[in-house]
Amino acid sequence: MNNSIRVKDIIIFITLYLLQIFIFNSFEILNQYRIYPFIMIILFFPKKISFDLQLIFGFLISLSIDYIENGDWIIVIGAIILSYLKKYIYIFAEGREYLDDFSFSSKLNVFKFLFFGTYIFYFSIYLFDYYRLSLLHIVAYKAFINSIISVLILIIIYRLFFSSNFDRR
Amino acid sequence: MDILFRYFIIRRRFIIFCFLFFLSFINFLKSNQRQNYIFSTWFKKNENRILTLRNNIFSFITAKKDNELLVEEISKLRQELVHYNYLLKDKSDRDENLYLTEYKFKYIPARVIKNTNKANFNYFIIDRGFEEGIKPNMGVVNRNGIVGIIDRVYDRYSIGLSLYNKNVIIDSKIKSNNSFGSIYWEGNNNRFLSMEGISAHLELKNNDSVFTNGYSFIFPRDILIGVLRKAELRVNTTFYSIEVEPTVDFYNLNSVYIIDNTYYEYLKYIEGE
Repeated sequence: MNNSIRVKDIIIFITLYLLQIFIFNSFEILNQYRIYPFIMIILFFPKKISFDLQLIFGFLISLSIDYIENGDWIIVIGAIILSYLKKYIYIFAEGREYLDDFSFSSKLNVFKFLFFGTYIFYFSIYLFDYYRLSLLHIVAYKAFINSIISVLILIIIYRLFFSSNFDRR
Repeated sequence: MDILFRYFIIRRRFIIFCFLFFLSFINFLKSNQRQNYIFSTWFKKNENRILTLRNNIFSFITAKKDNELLVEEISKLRQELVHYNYLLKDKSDRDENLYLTEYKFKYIPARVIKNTNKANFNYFIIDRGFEEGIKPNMGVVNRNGIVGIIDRVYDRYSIGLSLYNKNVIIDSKIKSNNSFGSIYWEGNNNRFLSMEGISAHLELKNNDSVFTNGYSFIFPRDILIGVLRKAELRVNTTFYSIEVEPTVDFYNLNSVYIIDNTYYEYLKYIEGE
């Protein structure tokens, strides 16, 4: 994949952002699980932009969504943690250092990257939501269920709208 | 400061993360009453520990500066100690000449930035030079004893010869019997210094201390050099062969003091006359 920001990337990002604001912000699955497609923007943002800028970008994009949602800064914290750990999630999923290219050797690695990134995000937001270390097992459980639901929905979104782009990644 | 700046550059990603996280966390607490209450309760309970931690962090940051000030202070105190020791003595015991001899030495603090130990002509480099008043042939000591002698001086750095250098000879005396001799190093990675000039008729004890005798213009009297470890009578001579272990740990040299004999040039001049 060419790592510079292309028009197609921008369209994908804007679409995900709009889906987040107008659709996924307004409902919860099973009355308790929120879906945040915007984290894909953070996860798949092109590598050519430095990690420092990616952190700031993750902060700004999550802050704007939180502001529109009249939120409580929890998703901002989750997004910052995800932006910071993105490099390590990539190494864990792909098994190699994050060098000049942001690409995956197999679809399984894409799935691993997506799943662990999503899990870390949800784990962070549930951790700050419950705010009790004694409830860590519930945090881990809810983050797991929410991640599975989210990843399934995110894959469906990609299959429906951006499948060619997804394959190339 | 330079190191701190470089650290910030290298770790900027982590620092940006900490800053953004802190910013978000503060706003998160402002927007969530329950979490704010839990955090405030926890903070009040651990306030002392947190303040101690904060103080420890600040002390760590300012430690280097404090250390430099302390070293500076010690060098002044060393100077004053000679003066007060003199005043503490009874008037009848005061030796005006000795006082003047001791008081002519000034101490300049320095830091060792390089030190060799494996060669026959070992040396060390200190972070003080011409600009700080360092001159060749000044003595170098630390809190454990004699380190060496300054050999070459540059603008901001100086090179000194350590006791483990075959070219260095120090006038010395043994504490118990005040007998005078010379200390030098024979080389070949020997960890002991050699002392010669001690007559065979004198009685020597192991673990006796060896000090400077004050005869050189470089070191004042009674600065510790080492500890006597072995004394043997030489065959066909009337002198001992003595091994002295230096008290300075040459593998851990850090802060040192340069001894400036303010009358050095004058004394050399009259010696030449």
